[in-house]
Amino acid sequence: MTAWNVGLALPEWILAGAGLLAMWLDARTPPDKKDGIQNVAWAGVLLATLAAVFQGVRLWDPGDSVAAGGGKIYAFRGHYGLDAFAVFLKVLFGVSTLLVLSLARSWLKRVDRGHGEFVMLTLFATLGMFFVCSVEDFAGLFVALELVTVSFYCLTAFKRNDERAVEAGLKYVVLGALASSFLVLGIAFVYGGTGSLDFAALRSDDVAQDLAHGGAPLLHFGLLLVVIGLGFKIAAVPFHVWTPDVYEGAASPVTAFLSVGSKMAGITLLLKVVRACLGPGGDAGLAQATPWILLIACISAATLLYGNLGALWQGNIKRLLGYSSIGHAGYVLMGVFAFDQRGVAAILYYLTAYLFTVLGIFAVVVVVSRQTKSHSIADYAGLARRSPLLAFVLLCGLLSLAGVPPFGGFFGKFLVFQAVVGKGTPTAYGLALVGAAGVVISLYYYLVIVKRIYMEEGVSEEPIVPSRGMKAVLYTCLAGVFILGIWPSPFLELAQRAASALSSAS
Amino acid sequence: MMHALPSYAVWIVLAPALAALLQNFCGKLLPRKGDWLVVGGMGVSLALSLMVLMEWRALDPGHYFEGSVTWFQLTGGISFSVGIVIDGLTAAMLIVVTLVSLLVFVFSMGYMKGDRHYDRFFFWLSFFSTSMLILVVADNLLLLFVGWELVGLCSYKLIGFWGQDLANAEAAKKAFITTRVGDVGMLIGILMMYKACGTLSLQGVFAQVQAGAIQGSALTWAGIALFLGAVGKSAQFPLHVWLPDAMAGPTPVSALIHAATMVAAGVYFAARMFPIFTPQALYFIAWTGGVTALLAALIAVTQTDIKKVLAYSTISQLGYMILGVGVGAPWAAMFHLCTHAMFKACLFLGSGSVIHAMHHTQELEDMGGLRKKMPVTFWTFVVSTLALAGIPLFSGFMSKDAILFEALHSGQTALFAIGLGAAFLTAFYMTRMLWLCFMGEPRNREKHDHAHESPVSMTLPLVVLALLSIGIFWGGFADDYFTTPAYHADYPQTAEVAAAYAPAGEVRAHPHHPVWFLLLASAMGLGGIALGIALFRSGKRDQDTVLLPEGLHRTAKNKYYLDDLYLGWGFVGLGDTLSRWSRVADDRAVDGAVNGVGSAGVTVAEISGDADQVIVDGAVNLVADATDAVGGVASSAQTGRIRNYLGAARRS
Repeated sequence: MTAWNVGLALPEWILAGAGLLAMWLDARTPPDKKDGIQNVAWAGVLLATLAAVFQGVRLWDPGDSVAAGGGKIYAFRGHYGLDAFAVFLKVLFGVSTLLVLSLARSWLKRVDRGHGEFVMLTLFATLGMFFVCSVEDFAGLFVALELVTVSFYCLTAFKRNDERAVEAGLKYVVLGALASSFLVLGIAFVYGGTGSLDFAALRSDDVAQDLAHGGAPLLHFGLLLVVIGLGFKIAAVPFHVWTPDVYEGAASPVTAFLSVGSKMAGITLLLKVVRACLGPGGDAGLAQATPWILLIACISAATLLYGNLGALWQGNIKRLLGYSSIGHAGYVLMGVFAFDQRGVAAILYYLTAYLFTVLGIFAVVVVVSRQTKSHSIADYAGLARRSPLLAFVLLCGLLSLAGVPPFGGFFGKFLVFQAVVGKGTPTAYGLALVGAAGVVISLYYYLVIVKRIYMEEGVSEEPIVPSRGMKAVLYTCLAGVFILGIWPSPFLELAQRAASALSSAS
Repeated sequence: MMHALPSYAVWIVLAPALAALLQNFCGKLLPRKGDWLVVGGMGVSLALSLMVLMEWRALDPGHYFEGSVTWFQLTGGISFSVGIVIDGLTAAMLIVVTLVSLLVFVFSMGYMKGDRHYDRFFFWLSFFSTSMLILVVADNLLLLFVGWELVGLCSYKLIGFWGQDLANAEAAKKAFITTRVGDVGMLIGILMMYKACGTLSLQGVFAQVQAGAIQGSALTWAGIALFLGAVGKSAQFPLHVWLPDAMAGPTPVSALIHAATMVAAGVYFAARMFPIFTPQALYFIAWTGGVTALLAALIAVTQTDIKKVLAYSTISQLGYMILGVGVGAPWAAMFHLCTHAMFKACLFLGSGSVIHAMHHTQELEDMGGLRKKMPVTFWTFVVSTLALAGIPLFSGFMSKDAILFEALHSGQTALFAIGLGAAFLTAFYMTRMLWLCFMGEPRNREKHDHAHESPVSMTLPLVVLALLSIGIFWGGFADDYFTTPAYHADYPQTAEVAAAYAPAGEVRAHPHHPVWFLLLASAMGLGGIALGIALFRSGKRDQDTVLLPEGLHRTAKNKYYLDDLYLGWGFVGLGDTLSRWSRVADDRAVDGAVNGVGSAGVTVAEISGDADQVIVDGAVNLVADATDAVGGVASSAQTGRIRNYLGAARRS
């Protein structure tokens, strides 16, 4: 725990280096040759992801000394930890950044300036996400999360001549700052309660007892504020208010990144904090902490209903996806409610499927809006005739979001519901019913889009041709959505290992 | 006892699946857009299903085939499999699905000729049947659920196939969403079973239930939750609203989805899960079925669209089947499912033939006198109508009789009476439709003159299906198959059910129904037909209200206002309102917060602005003055001459 072991953070070093290199290159290259910066960024993220994969291979090798010693290695004198859980999420973050960068490539062609900044901010946001996976104390949590969030503030307002983007950026900053202040205040109270910023301090038996039996009100209050702060990041009701506006106002690649990366970062931290609070008792802990479990169930139910109902009559596809992403936060929270190995594995699988699904949908949105200059769902009419590929990706993506087999989203939902029903308490059944209602409602608004793209006649018959890079993204996402829905076994196994690493973390 | 699955059995599912894939990717390049691929794939599937049926019959009673591979594993070593189980239930269902699918595919070759998306239509047809086959052969609930959902997805695409018409698109959406309401109930039921039993394989679940892993009210609730899936898919009251609208799809789709396969999935599932139902759950199931049978028959009497009449008739017959499961006779339900599949598919395809001839008119108003123009369609229609009406010597009589007898036998006289009433109404509305369509004088002379008999690809399936509606083809088979102990052995019952209902062996004890029962059942069918002929012989349509009192007629014609309830101010209206509220709340909250921060900022800025002038400016000026003074001193040293600096440096 006391070693510096700085080499362990290799993926982060690579990302930081790539970010700085992008900055430097940006200052050195003439405006018409900025494409190279994107290649640097792409290569950097790819390298960082590969580095994480190699670390994972080492961690998961049962003959390795690390795996034998609890499966977790520390660096920076215990402030940075690496286990299967962290690696799994780092790879997810890496893959989503790669896809987002590819998505952004054709979009950036239409932006006259700021390529370097865009790439750099994306890299730093990714760096933040990587750190999020490995933080071991509340100070690290705050810094890593702010690195992500501040980068996103700038990215949201990136189209600075676009009034709506700027407005969205402003709204995001103001509400995000509010959330951050909750978070900081909460951290302060937790520090007051435990005398330490380490997650490990929460894990002591005393704290677990306090949490289970309602002692230490300040600690409770602090944790509540922390949950609120993280709730903002994952867009849980009632802390979701920023979501629709920001999703609508930001550029599509940014929205895509926001809905995947930023949300996953919040969830990662939530899982780490919840895990820490469960004490050495592990899985059984949350079942004892009745008020907390009720709170999570209520937030989850409210998020499910609010997100799905809010999406019902939206006319703008990005706004609709914003509400739908709120709904999906609700499903993830169902997994948090059922916090045990199964629940966490379900969340991880859900996020994996969600990543490919959502990025596929946003790829379609980017391509279509480029041609139609519109995000109105009405302008998707007749898309099947304009581009069968785009229509098909959108169909599969939306059905995957709705949890229809044989798409990845189905298994995500199945696992989450299975974890919740497995709890067997009346609250669990109630939450499952609310989730079920959400599934039905969501099908309704997804089908509204499907109906438009396949059944209605569009105003224009002009074909929409995605670029080669876009096609690569589309096919990747399509493959991900199908494979996760038909052959879940390898990914499920990885997710389960990651979940067990989180549970056994000491 | 379990036997290894014959190796060819997987091709029952794979053949149509591969045909669908090939046709999808290469269909445009192939002659006839690859429809022969799809038909061929289904033909192979039918042949293999027959083979597997023969092999299964050679086994001892209670034996079945099973084969599976691991799909994925959950923590704790619980593995989920992709597997096939073939027992009596599956074998029967396979024949129904593959045979009806094959005939519908052949029929579609004629019906859909010249359609812009002919190839896509065949892809979805084939994919649909494949999904149905997955559902039927699945050896575990999860795979079954996947097939179940795929069926829903395909039905969505097929019902909305002519979706340029807004009504069709809406109907497709309605079908998908309404059935999905039941599906999520089913999913929760599945998960409840999983929690209790620790496995989802059918045999494992049955064994665990027998062993008492889950019992009492928990088992009742799990059973009802599972049954909700069947309520949606088999269009039982109150989730039946999607089926009539789904008639918007091309007629072969109606025949395939809404007569023979998709809606049969619910009945199949209920029969499949029979071993886990408690008496209380069965009571719920029986009443759901009975109520559906009667209410739908009442609506059918009031409809004027030929396909709508058939649609409500289907709902009513599905009610019978569910009733059969509910009164403890899943074998009777399956028997009725099989016979019904044949004659209802025949009726649907026959109506398709009429609609085709009448240039896509579905209103009975415009028909009449088609008997001479379309003899083949007419006679096949007559045969299947007699079968549906439950006239002796036709298949429907045998199976409906079995269900009614079981209802009586189980001691639920009220349900028996409801069944009899619905049987009477069935005979009546079918006669009414037959008469208005084929007999009397043509009411629309122009369309009548253009009408013609359909091509062989359309009439051939009709003839085959009509022949299969005649009792003789079922006689030996049914007695041998649906009521033998061999079949019963597939249905282990919970102890409570065995006590509450006739035990399996006892049915065997009096296989011949008493004469008075046979007379009563036949009288219902014949009476309905007689009344129908008496009322409609004149060819007038305004006789509808003779049978039903005015108020009831109006209510039934408006489908008991259920659609208005759901769409108008019920669930959708509620959702709409909540959705609006949430949007307003969001807009207010976010803008309010941002503006609040903004105006707070302005206020703070004003205050601090005042403060600035006094304090900060003062301080700044002070600093500036001080700097100025110091600067004056310093600048006299800053001569700009390097040598002075160097000199200063040297000095210091």
